[in-house]
Amino acid sequence: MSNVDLLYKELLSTFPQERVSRDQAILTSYAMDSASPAGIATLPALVALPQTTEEVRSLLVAANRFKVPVVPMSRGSNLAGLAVPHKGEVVVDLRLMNKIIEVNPDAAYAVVEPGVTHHQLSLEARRNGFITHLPTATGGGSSVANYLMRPSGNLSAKWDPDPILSLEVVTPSGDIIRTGSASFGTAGWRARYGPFPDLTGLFACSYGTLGIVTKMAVKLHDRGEEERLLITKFDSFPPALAYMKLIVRRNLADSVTFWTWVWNMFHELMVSKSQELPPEMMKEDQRTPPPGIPFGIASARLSGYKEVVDTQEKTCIRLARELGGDYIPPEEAKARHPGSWAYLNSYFVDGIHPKPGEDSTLRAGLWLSGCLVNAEPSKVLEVEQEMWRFAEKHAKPPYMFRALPFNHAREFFFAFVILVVGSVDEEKEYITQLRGAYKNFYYEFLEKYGAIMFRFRQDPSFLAVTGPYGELLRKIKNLIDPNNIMHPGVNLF
Amino acid sequence: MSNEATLNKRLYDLMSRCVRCAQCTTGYENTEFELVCPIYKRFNFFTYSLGGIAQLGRAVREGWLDPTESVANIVYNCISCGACAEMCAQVDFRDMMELQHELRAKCVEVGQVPVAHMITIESLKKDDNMMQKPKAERGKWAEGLEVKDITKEKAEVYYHAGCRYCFDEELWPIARSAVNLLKRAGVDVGIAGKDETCCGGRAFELGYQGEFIKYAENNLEMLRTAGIKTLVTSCADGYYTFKVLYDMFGKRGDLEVLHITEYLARLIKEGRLKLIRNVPLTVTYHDPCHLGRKVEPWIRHEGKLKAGEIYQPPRDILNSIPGLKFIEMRRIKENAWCCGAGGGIIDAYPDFARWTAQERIEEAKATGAEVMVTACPWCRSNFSDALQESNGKLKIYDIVELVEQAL
Repeated sequence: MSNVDLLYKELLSTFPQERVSRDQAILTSYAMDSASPAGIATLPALVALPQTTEEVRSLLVAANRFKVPVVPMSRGSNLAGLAVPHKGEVVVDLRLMNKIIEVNPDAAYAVVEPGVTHHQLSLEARRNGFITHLPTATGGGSSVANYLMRPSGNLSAKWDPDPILSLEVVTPSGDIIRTGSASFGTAGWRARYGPFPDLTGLFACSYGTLGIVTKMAVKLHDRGEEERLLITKFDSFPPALAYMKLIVRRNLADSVTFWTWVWNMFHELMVSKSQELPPEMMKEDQRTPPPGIPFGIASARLSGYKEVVDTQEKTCIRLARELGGDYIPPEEAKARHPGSWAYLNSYFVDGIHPKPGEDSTLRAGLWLSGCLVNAEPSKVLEVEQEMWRFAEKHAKPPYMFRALPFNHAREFFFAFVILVVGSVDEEKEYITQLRGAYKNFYYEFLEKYGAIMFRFRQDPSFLAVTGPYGELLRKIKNLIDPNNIMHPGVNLF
Repeated sequence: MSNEATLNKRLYDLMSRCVRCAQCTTGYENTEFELVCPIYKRFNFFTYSLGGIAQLGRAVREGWLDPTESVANIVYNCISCGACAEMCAQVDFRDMMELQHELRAKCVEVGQVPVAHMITIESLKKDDNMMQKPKAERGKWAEGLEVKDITKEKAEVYYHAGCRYCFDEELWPIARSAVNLLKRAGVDVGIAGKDETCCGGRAFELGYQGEFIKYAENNLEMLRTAGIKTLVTSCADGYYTFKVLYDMFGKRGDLEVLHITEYLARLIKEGRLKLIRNVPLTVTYHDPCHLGRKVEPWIRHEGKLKAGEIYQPPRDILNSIPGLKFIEMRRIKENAWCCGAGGGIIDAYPDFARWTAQERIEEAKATGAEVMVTACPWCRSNFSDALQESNGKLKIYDIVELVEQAL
């Protein structure tokens, strides 16, 4: 019997048969995501659907004993192959661990399991007068998984970009560790930091390589008496950047994001449900918008008491105008750009992903992850210019970017995305060529602009750039997971 | 295995872009994103969803997965209710149906078909019905009913009963009532009696396109010969088949297709049917998939948004019945939970069909209603079967039964 056979046999004694499978047909949907190149997929050895922390523990202990590697998967909606097997691992599909265990409106946090979706969490938060961090990804994604990789979104300026307080993690040895205030048992889940080093941070951005997170306490943010979307327009990126820095540093907005005109056109597709791209989006010169359309818009979330929001809005409009931008009144935005208006309102004001959401734009092409970096404000303009040069050399239209103050205004998140239009099959060569062009991308951006990869891109050498920091992490990894069963294919270590 | 493409290129591209968000399994915000996909809720693995089946299609097309018994088991367990396509940001109902049809056709090609479906199809070929009953019994439901036979005399409107109403004796009174209601309203109606045949819709859903085309052509030939311009049916599956599937294959021509609820609502509004008797019941309404999203998205695909679905007429009828209190369930219209009978499930996987019905029954009970009304014979029968296993006092009615009570 192989080790996988032994593991399967053992799992059948702890899991009901309908929650563990080796059936090739069932395994198929766990073998690839939209980032998997056509025809390339790796079937897992088996898939299991635990419902409790104890089941996760028994699974990991058994997998560790038989040295069978595992891939944790919260919901699986990843565009970068971070939740698919690479060499026949066990996929631990956490979708049935989908309970919101606690909402503490007084201390403004919720405790959730990894199968809880953004939809679930944001609805529950709204019922209690709160808003939560949202990525621009799908509402069907896991809040826990997204927060562990840092959300890229709607509240990351005024508040802070880290929504995690404390965690429950199961390690391969079967230890169930609680971090932050939860480590004290009686102290609840309210705080990330205590009198000891922060272990929550160790598991963030570890991509399932150190253990499986089975509970997370997440921050909830008060919605305020008034919530408003403010849209301003700019003819280029520099004044928009100056505007964003100002309004965030001076706490005029909860968050603000700049979207280029192509991105805004994608938002329009959500309303039309069209599978055709408007021809303007395919134009050769992507730096220049079609006549009558601004280069980009900055969408800001304002919240608080009405009088305060009125003043904030007035001040933001004044600042935008002083910098050469202008205000787009809601009536005009609604009439001229109904898709953008609907999307941005859902995202920034309702705090709930619209459905269909931004993922609907995928009907028109394959969304390549592209360049996602965090950089200092002073370097973001250079990153932008470099990205245009890169795209003009390597890519076909359409391409676009969005940028937002991520860590207050100390750094900006910058996402440059290339959309591959047409048949995935026919564009196979183009996709391969683009992926090749991306190969040294993050090294160059780090060296030239100090811009750091936002999410890990499965490059085994990247951790080495950090020197002793990476070395210490490797030692910790060896200590926690000496058999290297935790998601080895993701190549973090 | 054969490398013959299973998914056409357009479908393959769409399926390759699935981001596994699983939104195809849930309803809209007004349902609090509650699960609406029965197969996913029952079997839990992502593979049992539109997204998962898309990955199956992708794998079969790429040639690294054979259409094995396991594949067939997943593909045939899908109820084809269309809830997924309503929710998915990328595909519409036509895409979903095309995907399922191509996979099922592939399974048929390699002989991976549930035995129950083979029996059903053989019976269809022999006796022209989906109920495995002798052809000769088709017209029994209408015996003694004074109504025109369109194969012998002209009528303005053709009433198509459909296989279930023709052969399920328990449902005969409903079909007879429907005809009587039309006659009472002065409609010049006729039936085909023993010469009626299956619409072929279920054959299409099971993957037998050839049989479907044969029935479509036969039915339309009969209607052309009889000079019929308007078809009314009480069968939701039949409505979908005549209205959508025949149209998709360019067969419908200018035949007007109406569901009985549409026609009755029209007759009530025009004052040709007067509902005057009190019906002191608290009811809720179950939207059959074949009257809702399976009709509506097809129209949407053609750019005619929400033009074909029948959500409002049954509600208008219920609201016009004196003394009746109508309460909605949470998952309604495009987010309705399926009864569980569709897609051949009732034949091949009866336990799953009843499990699915049971969930709807519980949802109906939770509203406080004493009656769940529907407008589809397959839904009604499946709910009735499931209710026999349930201890509650909920009753199932066809909407026609309530209209008759109110006259």
